[in-house]
Amino acid sequence: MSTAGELAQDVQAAIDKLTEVPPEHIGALIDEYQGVLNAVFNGSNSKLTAAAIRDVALAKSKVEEAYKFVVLTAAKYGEIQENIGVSTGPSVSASSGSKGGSSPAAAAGTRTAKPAARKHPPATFGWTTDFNYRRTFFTANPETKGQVWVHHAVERQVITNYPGVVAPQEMHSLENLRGIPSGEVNRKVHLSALRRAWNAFYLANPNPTKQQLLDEATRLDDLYGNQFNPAIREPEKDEQ
Amino acid sequence: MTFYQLEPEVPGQWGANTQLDTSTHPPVVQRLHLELDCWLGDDLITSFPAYLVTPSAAERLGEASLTGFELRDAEINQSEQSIEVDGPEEIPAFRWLHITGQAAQDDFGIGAGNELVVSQTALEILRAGTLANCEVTEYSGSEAV
Repeated sequence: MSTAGELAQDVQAAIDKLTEVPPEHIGALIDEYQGVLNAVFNGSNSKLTAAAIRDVALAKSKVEEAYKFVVLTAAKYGEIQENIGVSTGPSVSASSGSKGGSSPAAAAGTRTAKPAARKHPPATFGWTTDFNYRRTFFTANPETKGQVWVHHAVERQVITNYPGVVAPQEMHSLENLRGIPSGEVNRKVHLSALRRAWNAFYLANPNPTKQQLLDEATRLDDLYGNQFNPAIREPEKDEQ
Repeated sequence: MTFYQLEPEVPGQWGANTQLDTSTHPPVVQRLHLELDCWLGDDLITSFPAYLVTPSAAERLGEASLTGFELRDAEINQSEQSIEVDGPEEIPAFRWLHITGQAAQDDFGIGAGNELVVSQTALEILRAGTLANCEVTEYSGSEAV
């Protein structure tokens, strides 16, 4: 379990990633930027702009993830604060998403331990009203068009198997999409491993929660994410 | 008699015309629509909680007077993304292998852990076709999950 100091540092680091833009407006703001970039890309078709589009999409994902992290970690921080008897210091507001007064890290007063860096982000959902998921993926990753199979990290049929657990707007969001190289790798990874794993999950889980579905997606990302395009896990090192 | 637990390949996902009763686990399939996108060629395939067989396997099973299954119609097509990436492929008219038997009693049954269990005879009939991507283990009973 993390110490209060570690959690406080994590909270502070996450807050530092946020801008003064209210968190509920961050996604829309970046969508707006992405729309402009898309328009430029369609006109110029430059590789540089394509890379910018991808970076903006990634930035959106990371900022939204950071915001969720603040909300979740703030709750843990509050519990630990009570347990260790720290009674002062600001609360981290889920609705403000910005700094207020002294930092929770300072309030905790135990900053000796370096927080354990999360090596890889867990699977998460975003939100989209565009259910053309391949368009969503290729807009964010235009250089992969024609080279990858677009796969849902949490499979689409979850909507059929477990009605009401995952909204279609979450299911088809960029955060839930993975690019699997077409051809032999696609068949091996996409079918033999991912599909089989999900089938076993469905057999064993009558009523999974959304988090359990995401946990399974994270587990599969950990196993196969280095083969995706873009890779979402570090490539395996050549042992030879 | 020896029985075997089978984990067939999973070459697709439910199509839009699938109808399920999800009030129970596993859900009850009322109408089966499967969109294939990576079929590797086995005669037996699955997509939770249903099983399907190729027409040739269905014919062999039907002629063998085995117990514990019914053959039903299913709607099968190649997924849109598969057509775009792989090109149009010939898809057999898979039959829905609806399991009605008890594990380790009938030739086809569902175990307490929702696994597919078949008799030695059923396995041999399936293996007369293609079963290269199906995991086969000897069945020793199961516990509910």
